[in-house]
Amino acid sequence: MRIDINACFGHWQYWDLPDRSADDLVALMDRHGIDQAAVLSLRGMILDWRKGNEETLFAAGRYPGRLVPFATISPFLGGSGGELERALDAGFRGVRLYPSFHSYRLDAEFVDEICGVAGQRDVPVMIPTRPMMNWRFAAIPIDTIGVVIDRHPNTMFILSGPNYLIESQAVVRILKRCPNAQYEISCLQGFNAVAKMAGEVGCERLLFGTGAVLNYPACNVAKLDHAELTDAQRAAIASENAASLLGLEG
Amino acid sequence: MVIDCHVHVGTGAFFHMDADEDFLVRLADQLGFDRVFVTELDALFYDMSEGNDTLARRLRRHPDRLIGYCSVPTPRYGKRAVEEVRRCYEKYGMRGLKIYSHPEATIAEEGTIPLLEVAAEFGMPILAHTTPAECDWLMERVPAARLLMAHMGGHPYAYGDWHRAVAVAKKHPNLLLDTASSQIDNGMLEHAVEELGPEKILFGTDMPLLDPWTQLAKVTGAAIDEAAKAAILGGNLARLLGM
Repeated sequence: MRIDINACFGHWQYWDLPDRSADDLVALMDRHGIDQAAVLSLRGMILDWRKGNEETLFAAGRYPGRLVPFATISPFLGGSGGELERALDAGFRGVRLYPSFHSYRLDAEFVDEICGVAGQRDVPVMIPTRPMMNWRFAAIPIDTIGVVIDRHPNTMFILSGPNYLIESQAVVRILKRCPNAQYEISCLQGFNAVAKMAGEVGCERLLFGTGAVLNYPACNVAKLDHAELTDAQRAAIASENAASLLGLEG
Repeated sequence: MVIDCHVHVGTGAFFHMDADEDFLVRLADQLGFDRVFVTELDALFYDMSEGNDTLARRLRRHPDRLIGYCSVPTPRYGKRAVEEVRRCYEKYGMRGLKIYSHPEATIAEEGTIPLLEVAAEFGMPILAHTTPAECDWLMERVPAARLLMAHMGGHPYAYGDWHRAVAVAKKHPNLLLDTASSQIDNGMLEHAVEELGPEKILFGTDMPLLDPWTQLAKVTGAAIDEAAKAAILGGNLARLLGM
């Protein structure tokens, strides 16, 4: 079983995606043996978090048991802890923050407010350092995310976006320091890097993700399938850790 | 037949890489790769002659599996770099040339031209870690060179711009693209095949820096036909090298 903790659907301003809709995403999941995916509409990341969240919830309603809705929210257009409360009441299971795309700083009061609500409601906060593993996107320094994680020990965080070498070393340092953080592997492209990371921090700290529809899902399926792990470790990363984090049947 | 056009061997501090030829062959066996086209880190980043000699010894251990690139750290080595290419071709039978462009030392300048010309004279494909703009500049001046754009724009210095890489490759008949990259952008390979045809695209992994399974899945999982996959995975390079 595979649960993709990092999927999305929608349009992409940099190129015309071959797969765009929630239907396209589910077709990709079917083709690559992915049972469930945590998802949001790219409209929320790029234009309007309110309309994006509506699209995300609608898509998840069309595919119950396949798409798990993640909200996004920003200080723009009245985003607040209260708005996150309402989103969670409506059925969202987590929240992703995009400070680069939404033009705010990670030391903003807004961030603390969102992380506080997420902790109280026991849902994870994902803060991607980059939206996908494409070098045109300058990565948010991961240590600035580590500071947020330190400030909210009762909130679960998903690190996403770091790649190899110095970036993955920073992930390891944060995971060792912060028991309330996990790492999603879709941008980790180093040689045998999943197994090395599991050896450093434990497989229970890693989450399978693809970055679809922005990324090829086949690549991350292959990466995990061929990582030098035991079957039990692979199952934990592929689905069990995400199921536990999101309260799903894994 | 699967041939990986972008593989490294040796020890390098920046990349945390320490791999010998036996390791690469074991890896190729696991992956089902028939041949791997290899560059020596010592030659590419430090002492080119020492490194290329080391690579020649490695090639002799696995002549049926490893193909060698002569590497030079920068074309700014001038005549010494040109003579090194000639030496590696004539003495060791190395089949390709690897060059590397940095923001600190571009390859898009007059001094690179003799290097490309000697590689063209010997029919050596030139794997160049470079940008689309630099490739455009070089191909305008040495159109006979078979330049293989490493990472097809998918590295930091080239800002990940594979659209630009494809557009420049379309302009120059002898400019080819290598698929190895951290980037696994949905649609990148389909776009390249649609614009260029599969014959200008070569499969590479950049192992053992990058995870080769991820790189292999980029091609095998793409929505292109099986003939195109076969050409990219090895047919094109086999044809290029007369194998």
